[in-house]
Amino acid sequence: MILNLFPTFIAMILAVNLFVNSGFLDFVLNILKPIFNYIRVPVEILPLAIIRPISGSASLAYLNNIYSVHGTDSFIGLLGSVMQGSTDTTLYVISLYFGSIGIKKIRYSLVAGLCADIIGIIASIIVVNLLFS
Amino acid sequence: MVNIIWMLLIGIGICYGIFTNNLDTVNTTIIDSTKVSLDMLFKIFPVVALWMGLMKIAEKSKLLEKMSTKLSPFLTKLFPEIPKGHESLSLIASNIIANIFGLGSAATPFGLKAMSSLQKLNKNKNSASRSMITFLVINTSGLTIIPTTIISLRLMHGSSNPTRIVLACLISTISSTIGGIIVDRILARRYKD
Repeated sequence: MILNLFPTFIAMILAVNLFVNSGFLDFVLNILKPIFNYIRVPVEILPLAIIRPISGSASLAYLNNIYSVHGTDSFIGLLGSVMQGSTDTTLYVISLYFGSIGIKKIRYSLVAGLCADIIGIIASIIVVNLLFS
Repeated sequence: MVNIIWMLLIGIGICYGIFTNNLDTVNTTIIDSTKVSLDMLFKIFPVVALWMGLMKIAEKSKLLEKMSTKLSPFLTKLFPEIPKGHESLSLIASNIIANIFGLGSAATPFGLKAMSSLQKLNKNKNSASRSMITFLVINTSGLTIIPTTIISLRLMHGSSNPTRIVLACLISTISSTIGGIIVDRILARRYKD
């Protein structure tokens, strides 16, 4: 199992680190910062919230990055942990499950799945604020 | 879809690095990535292996099976379209139980079988049925009670209290699952065909 995973893992960590270290992410986040400060949510969590429904391992790689930069028990570290733990990869599950039985019309499943993710993300922000701050 | 995202991440990273004269960072990142991923895998693997072993015992001792039967009264309410005693209900139950205990790799085969058994009940084979979407939403909202991977990753980064997040995860998982089911119900009514 570990040997099967390893190449993918390298590729993912590489992609995430390249994206973060090149400075592009900081550039985008700096623009959005005032809005997030206003609702008292650290802006660095935004990429995690976006990647989470798309790819579980990618978001794990980004979470790894958050831990290295901010520490596991900083506010953002805790928020990231809860966010990662509270939802699943909607897009992956939809393409795997519906692909396996040849469903072409997925109807409202993507909307419903993403709504569940958004609810999970909002819930984790509220819960972490209540429990840890 | 996912592949495109990877390519975008790498592409934007390299281009922006060149653009801002930061090619050094890009180079070191490429070389360092292997080391970082190896570290992560090695440190995460023992904890995950231990958990999977524990769960295998729960599976062999029929504990999971017992819990699945307990779940079926709830499932008949959630999936009113599936006739009572249909095989898909027990497959869905096994999938949910495996997911709850963080056994993603064990849950997927059950989930796939459940889907193909739901397909037998489906009238229009090209289009997703209501039960399929409900099942999918429950799956994607995340059901894991104990997020082992995250705990292992926190442990690896030297957290003083890696399990501190369990309660918070539980609360937000439950809210996202309940919220997902409510949204599913609302949309199901709207999309009636």
